[in-house]
Amino acid sequence: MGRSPTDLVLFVGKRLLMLIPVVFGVMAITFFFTHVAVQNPCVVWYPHAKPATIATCIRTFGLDQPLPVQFYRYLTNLLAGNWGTSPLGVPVLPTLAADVPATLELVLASLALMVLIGIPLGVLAARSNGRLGDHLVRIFYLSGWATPTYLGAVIAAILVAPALGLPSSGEYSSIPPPFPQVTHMSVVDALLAGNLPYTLDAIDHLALPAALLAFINMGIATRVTRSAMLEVLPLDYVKSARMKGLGEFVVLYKHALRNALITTTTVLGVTAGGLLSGTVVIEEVFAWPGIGAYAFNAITESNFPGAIGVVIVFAIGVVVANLIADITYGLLDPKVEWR
Amino acid sequence: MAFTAPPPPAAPLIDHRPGARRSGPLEPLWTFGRVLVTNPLSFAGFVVVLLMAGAAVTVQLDPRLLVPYGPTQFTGAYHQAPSLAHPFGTDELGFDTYSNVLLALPTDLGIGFAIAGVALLVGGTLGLIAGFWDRPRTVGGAVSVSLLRLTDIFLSFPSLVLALAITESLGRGVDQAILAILATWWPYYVRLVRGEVLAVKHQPYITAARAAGVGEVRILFRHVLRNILDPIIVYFTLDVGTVLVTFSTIAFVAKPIVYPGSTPEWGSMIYFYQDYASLYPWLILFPGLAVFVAVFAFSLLGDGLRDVLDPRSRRAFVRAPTVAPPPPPVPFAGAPSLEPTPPEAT
Repeated sequence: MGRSPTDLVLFVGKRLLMLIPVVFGVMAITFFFTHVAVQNPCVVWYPHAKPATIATCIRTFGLDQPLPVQFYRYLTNLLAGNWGTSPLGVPVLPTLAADVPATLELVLASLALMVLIGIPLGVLAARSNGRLGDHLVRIFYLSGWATPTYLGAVIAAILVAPALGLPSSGEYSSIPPPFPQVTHMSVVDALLAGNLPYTLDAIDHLALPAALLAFINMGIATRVTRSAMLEVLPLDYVKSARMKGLGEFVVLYKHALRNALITTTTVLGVTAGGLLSGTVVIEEVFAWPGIGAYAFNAITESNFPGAIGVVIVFAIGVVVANLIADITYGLLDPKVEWR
Repeated sequence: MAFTAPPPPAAPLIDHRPGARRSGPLEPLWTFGRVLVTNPLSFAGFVVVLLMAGAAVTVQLDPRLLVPYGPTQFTGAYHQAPSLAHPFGTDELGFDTYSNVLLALPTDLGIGFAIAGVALLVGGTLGLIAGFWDRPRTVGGAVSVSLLRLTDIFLSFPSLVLALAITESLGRGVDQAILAILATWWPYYVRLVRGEVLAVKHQPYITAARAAGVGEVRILFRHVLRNILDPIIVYFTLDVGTVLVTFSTIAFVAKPIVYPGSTPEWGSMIYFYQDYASLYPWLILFPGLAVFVAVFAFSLLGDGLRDVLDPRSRRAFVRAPTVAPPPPPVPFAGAPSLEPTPPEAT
């Protein structure tokens, strides 16, 4: 095993193969909660229906079959792209597919903020280790960590948005926009259409939810950068860079941070779960048309197929994020061999 | 390998640092004290945690000592801004917000401790087993591998979303919400504890103990467990706060608790009052502040502890190392560490 492109392809292939049991397990667990824990969803959906209607519903959904048969059906349906319908009859998979890009846009925007703000803060904290700057940075990222998402979202939408003059709902000020939504990512679509006012408008709409999501998860990037920098700063090569007479900025950001970032990258991949969880409440409060808001509504409306669909999509998202983090880690660190 | 010398005493991480070196059963307490003295933020966190725990116990034993009104007792004042009579104001039903925020304290703190504690017991035990008996082609190895695959699957769910879905399937209620969080919480402890066991179990002192004829189970508890306690305690401290936030989020989204009712809860209070947020901001501000302060205090305490106990950032505490440590080995995915989110699966 080495670092040739073939090794990389083999590595990615292997990791993708390892995805199969994980995805199977995810489906099995979600099946358990839809078919074993919920004895009879028909009663939940149609609480006032006549017994005959309930019986029809049970037959339609195959709930009278033995569990293994139900599991087989459930699996084949999932794999065939039939993820069920909401109680109102809206199919789950097409809705989810249309909503994923908006969530991806939100998550990527806040990830960018976490990198642009969180990493320099971590460097600052490591430099003033144990002194005032360190304490201030710690207070900052721990207050993000300690802010309940719903409270942060409500405060941001009601108090911060009017104060900054930022919009707090939706993707654009006027919908639908006068151009085709190719990617379903608001900023990208506006850019592709070459519509500058709409691009700025979309960025305005994205700013608050993305900033809030980044603030809540900032601690992870900052803390890891800080401890990685603390590990690197006393090393000889940093000292020799200083002795060469290099400026402090170059020493910190070009020499020290380069090695410290390797750790940060791995951990950023792991934050995917936290970011996705955060979207549930934030998207709902900011009326962002993504799967987080869909999850919120699915749960408040007892839409089991919808909730399960979101769980599966999120699980796959986390696994893919981890894979990307692993690959980036290997690309950044020349000592890593693909295995 | 010939047995030449008695095994060196199992030195916990903490003993390498300057300062009074104590041993014996009280040693963790000394460590704790030193952490608090050196780190003002941790000290503040510790004080707040103590105050909250004290208030929670008082409220649980005799609410009348601290709480002027019952959870659904009419005060006769509607939509009052915070004042001396009603420090956190009153709502449109005439309930006292201060009383309700304080009455929610035992519920929220208790749930935080209970969920994190059970997850620690269940996940920690499984992690010990999976880490200690993991030789391939034995029963233990098979158990270990299947356990790890299972945690891999659970760890690939974003825990909040899975917990919400489970709360939804089990039906609304506090017990269901607690079960739902537990179902998603234990795998983190399996991974954490297993990683720590793996880091410790090939240390010379374990080999020495084995060579001296100490039984496996005794090695596991007296030598392995004793030496991995520090990081686990830190993680647990941080986790109580995380559980608290997660539970109140679930209370906000899935509404397992009816508010106003006999047991107030911060997340459900904010849900109930959110529509009045711009008119009567104190109604959501104070319950929200309660969550914030609780989680912040636990995080300050845990974060400070971690800095001291985590060998990677211990330099923060020691200052001026005389010898630069050797570069850390390069395992492929992140080595087991004390991140708020545990390292991902390999």
